[in-house]
Amino acid sequence: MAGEWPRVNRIRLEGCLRGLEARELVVVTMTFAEDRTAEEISEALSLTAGNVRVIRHRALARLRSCVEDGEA
Amino acid sequence: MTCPVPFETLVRWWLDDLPEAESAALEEHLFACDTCSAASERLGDLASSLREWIPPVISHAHRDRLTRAGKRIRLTPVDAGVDAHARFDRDLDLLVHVLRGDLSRAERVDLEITRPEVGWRIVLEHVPFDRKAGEVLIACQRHYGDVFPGDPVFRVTVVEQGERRPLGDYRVIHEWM
Repeated sequence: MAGEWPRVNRIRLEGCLRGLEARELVVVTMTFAEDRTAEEISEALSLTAGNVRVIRHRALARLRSCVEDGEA
Repeated sequence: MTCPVPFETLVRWWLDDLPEAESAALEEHLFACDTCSAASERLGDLASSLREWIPPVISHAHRDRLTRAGKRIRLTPVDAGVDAHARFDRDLDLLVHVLRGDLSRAERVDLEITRPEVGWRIVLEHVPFDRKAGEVLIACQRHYGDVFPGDPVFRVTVVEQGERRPLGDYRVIHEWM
């Protein structure tokens, strides 16, 4: 298996990801795993790019709190 | 530059989504401000972990990237209603279950991962799929043996012309080595 991730615990991060709302998880997945821009995601999900950015930064703020403080 | 830098601005910077002038101003500020620089670094750690993260459902392009990166992957074709078997040998990094069906008219695919006998379920909407190949790829990772014990059922639903249609239930019997 590949090496451990830097600094953020994998199991904890996955727990935090499961705490996201469905749409937030879709946006985070498309952003990081699919490497898609806000514009590309907005087309796929029929949202505006602005909406995507808001969902994205809220999801990341929740993930940051969750991985750093254990708050979902 | 506002200090502290708004979280949203840092997110856009890490995702290369800021106009060039704003990006340059931010970089100058980060160079001079320890507080914002530390906040940015923490976000960077999260972003790099998310880039390494392999979601439970991956696109064909993502699978190809993982293969090019040297991941050892075993593909298991799975048809609805027919139990498939997959063995996670020690020399593998990833099992990919290839759920097959008619996706030719699918606008969107949703997936429910469930173990009805113990009552848990995870719903994933808008999962990646290959319309032409008629495939949804489940990326089964070694730690899932602990996180999702047992053999879950993958229930696939497609949305066609705004209507939801069950594609089928797919089951993979795992053997963890």
